[in-house]
Amino acid sequence: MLLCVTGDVCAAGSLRWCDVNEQDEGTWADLQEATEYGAYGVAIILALRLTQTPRVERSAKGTGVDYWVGDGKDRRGIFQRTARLEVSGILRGDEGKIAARLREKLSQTKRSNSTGLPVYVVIVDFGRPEARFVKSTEGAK
Amino acid sequence: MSDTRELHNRAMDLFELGLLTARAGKSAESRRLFNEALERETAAADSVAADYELEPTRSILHRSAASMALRIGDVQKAKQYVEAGLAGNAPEDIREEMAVLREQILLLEAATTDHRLRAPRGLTLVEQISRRFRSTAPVNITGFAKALGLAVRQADLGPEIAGEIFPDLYRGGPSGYTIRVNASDSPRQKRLTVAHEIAHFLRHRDRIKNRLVDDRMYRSRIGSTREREAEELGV
Repeated sequence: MLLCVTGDVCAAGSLRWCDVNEQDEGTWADLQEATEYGAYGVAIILALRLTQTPRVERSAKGTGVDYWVGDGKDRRGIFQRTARLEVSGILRGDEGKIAARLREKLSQTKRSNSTGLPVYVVIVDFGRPEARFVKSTEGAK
Repeated sequence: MSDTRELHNRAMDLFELGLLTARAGKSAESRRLFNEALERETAAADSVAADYELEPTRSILHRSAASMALRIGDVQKAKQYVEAGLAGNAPEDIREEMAVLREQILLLEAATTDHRLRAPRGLTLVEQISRRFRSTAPVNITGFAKALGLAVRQADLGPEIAGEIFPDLYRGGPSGYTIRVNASDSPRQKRLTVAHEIAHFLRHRDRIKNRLVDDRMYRSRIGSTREREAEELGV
C-alpha cells in the first residue's frame, strides 16, 4: 500500500501491514491507542529518513515516552542539538481532519517551544494512508 | 557522556518494556522493570546534575527520572528529581512541563498522606492549581487537567458523544483517569468538554465506576443534578 507523505516534503513510501496473532489483537484492542502507537512508528521512520538524522532519543514523560531526533554528534549531552517529535494518529481521516489536527499540534508547539530547537510535527492518517510532515521553527533560536 | 548515554538508554529500554508488560496486565513484572529503569535514570540524571550549562539534556533527564518515579508512586524520589530539574537553567517549555509534573507529584502526595498530617490552612492544592490556571486568559484547560493528573486524549466518539471520563490505570496519568473528547468537535467545543469532565473528576470521582459518557447536551447516566453541578463548575 502506498503511503503519501505531504507537507514540507512530497514523497511516497510503501506501507506493509504485518500479520497479527491473537496476542497482538488482545494487546492492541483499543483502536485509538493502536492508532497512536502506530503513528509514532511511522513518524520515527519518516523523521529518520527525511531529516537525515540517524538517532532517535527517548525520555519518559507523563505515562508514556517523548521522542527526539538528532545526529548524536554533540559529545556534551544526549539531547543537545535534537529536535522534538510531535505526533498524532488518525484511524480514518480526510483532508479536513488532518489539517485540523496539524493546526492543533502547531499551536501547542507555538505555545510551549522555547528550547531554541525545531519541532517536527507528523500527522499520520491510516485511512488513506497519508503522513503530513511539517517542521516548525516557531521559537527556534 | 558515554556512561550517561548508556545508563539512560538502558533505563528507557526497561521503561518501554515495563509499559508493554503493564499493557499485558503483568503488574508485578512491570513494577520490577519500572524500578530498574528508575535506578538507571536517576544515575544518568545524577551524572549531569552539576553541569548547569548542559541544557536541555540536564532538565530532560531530571524530568524523565521524576516521571518514572511518579509512575511507580515513589513520591519522594519524584519530588527530589523534579526539584533538582527546576533548580537548573531549564528551557522555558521543559520548565513548564516540570512545573506541571511537580503539581501532579504534590497532588499524589496529598492524596496518599494520612489526612491527620495535612495542614488544613489556606488554599488546597487543587484551589492553588485552579487559581494559577485561571489567572491567564484563555485558560489552558488541557494544562489544567494535566496538572490535576488527568490524561486528555481525543478520539472518534461518533456524532452523539461530546466526551467521557473513565478510570485508566495504564495510561490515565497520576490520577488514574483519562478524559476523551470528540476529535471531530471544534476547538471551542473540546475546551468546554474538557472543563465539564474536569468538573466531574473533581466533584463526582467516587461515582465514576467504569466510564462516564456525556452526550451532546452533557447528559449522562449520573443524573441531572450532578450534570448541573459539573456544568456550573465547568463554566
